[in-house]
Amino acid sequence: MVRPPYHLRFSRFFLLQRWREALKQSPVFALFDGQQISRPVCSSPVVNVTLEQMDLCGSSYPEAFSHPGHMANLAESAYAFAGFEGIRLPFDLCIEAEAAGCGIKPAGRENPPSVVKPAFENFDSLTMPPDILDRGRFGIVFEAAVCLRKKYKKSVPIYGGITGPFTLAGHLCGTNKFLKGTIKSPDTVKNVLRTVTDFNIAYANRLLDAGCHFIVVIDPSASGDLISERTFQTFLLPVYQEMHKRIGGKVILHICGNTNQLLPVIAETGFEGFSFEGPAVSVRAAHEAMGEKMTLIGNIPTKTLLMGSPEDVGRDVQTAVREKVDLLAPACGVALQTPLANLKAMVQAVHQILT
Amino acid sequence: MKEEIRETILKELAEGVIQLDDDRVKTAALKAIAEGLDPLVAIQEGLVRGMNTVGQLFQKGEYFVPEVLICADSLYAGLEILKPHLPKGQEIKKVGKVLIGSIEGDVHEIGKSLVSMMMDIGGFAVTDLGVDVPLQKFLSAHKEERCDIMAISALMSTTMLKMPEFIRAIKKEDPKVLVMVGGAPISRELAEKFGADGYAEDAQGAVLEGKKILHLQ
Repeated sequence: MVRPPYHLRFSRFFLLQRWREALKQSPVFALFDGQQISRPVCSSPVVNVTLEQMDLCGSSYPEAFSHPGHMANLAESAYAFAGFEGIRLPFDLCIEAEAAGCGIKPAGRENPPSVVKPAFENFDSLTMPPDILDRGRFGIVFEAAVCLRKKYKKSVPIYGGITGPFTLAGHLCGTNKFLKGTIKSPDTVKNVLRTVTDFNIAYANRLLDAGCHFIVVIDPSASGDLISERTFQTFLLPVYQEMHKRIGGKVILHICGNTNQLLPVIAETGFEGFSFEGPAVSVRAAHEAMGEKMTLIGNIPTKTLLMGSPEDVGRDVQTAVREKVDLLAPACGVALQTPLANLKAMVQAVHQILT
Repeated sequence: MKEEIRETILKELAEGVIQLDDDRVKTAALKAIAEGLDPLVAIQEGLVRGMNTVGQLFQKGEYFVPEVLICADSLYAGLEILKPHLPKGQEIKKVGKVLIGSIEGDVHEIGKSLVSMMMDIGGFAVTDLGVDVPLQKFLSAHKEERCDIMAISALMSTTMLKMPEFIRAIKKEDPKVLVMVGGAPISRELAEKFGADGYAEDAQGAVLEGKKILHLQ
């Protein structure tokens, strides 16, 4: 809204306009309330930062990982410059592992930080200190979320991403060891997952308190590429159901890769949304498994966004809309080198469908 | 030695690997030695044959990563027992030398390690350079080892973009070396576009592809 001159600022007209502005609500909220919305929406619960956005908004990696102002600034850049109806923060999957003591390769301008060494030698020694949320970079994310919520209210949805329990447990004790543990010592692994889940829930609730509208649980290690449906059912379904029960907000689950076999189980989690990767997962199968239970989010391939032309992107968007993907988003975190033009093309394609 | 006993031992070795049972493998390996079975035969027709079946089960989607990792552990448990009994000079014949690593900037390990493991079991001499491997490390390792195949993995579309540059540099350094690539964002089409000689979708496929590009199969 244009700021009115001072002598008019408190006039009835402008007050009314400001009130309207404050009440403006993105259609994404209606979508997650289970309502039909009149137009398809493009909004990304997965990381959508590109190098071009960094240049345009003046906040870039690695500062954006450690400075709340830069984080907020870069987080809103997909909304500001590409027109995505959504803001996603933070940008990495290391915050939790880092605070728990894992070895981390620091971020650079063109790479987010990454976990290189587990924090715990064996499953039994794994603990999450009660004050962990006051350590590490959690405070930065909370502060950025507070700023963004103040600025956007409910006009743009704010997604708070957390590392899912299976992936985080893998970070904490070594993914290979953890995967083997699902067969060799299932009870210990269940205990580990419980500890990690309690932490996940506490973190998610703090993110909601800080101002995030939705929680996005990113759990790449729970992919059907790595584990079987049975493993998913035994270890993850109870954990996800617990999260659904105890997180005080709507939750979106994102799992990369092939999740076709897992769809019926994912439908039982109780989560409100499922973000999946195309073209590995068939939209029709997802619809059949989820029915009305979950909002389907996806599935514009990151490869098209990175290497395709804006026309290619447009075609993929049309396919996704035709197949009735509820919320259009990149299928997975977008590559930093992705041309901004392709993200814009996503939004434009959606608008064209409108008219 | 009776043919029957030989067959039982070999079957036990293979089944132990397939059933994720390292104790069964160990027992069978000790029995093989006690009965005077040729350790090389025990390894190749017992353990490795079992692991090939595991590879097929993985491709079919009946086994997943946790299962394969434990099968491999069982195989190595048997190998540890059998290897010291190989007669001097009778090494396990290697079909080719492989240098493998995840590309610079990429710390994804699981897929790369699976390939490394399956190629090792499949008869290649594998040197695993780990994850986040810069070009220089590939090149200097090649100088020392003179490998036949360089296998590069990338799990992110961002890091995948470095592959053409890596492949060009490797080919410039030594045009004879064959480059294989793999990882979730890559397809055969892309691999060809990048200038790679080989591509595989999964670990079992990588073994076959490796042998294929070396014209062994």
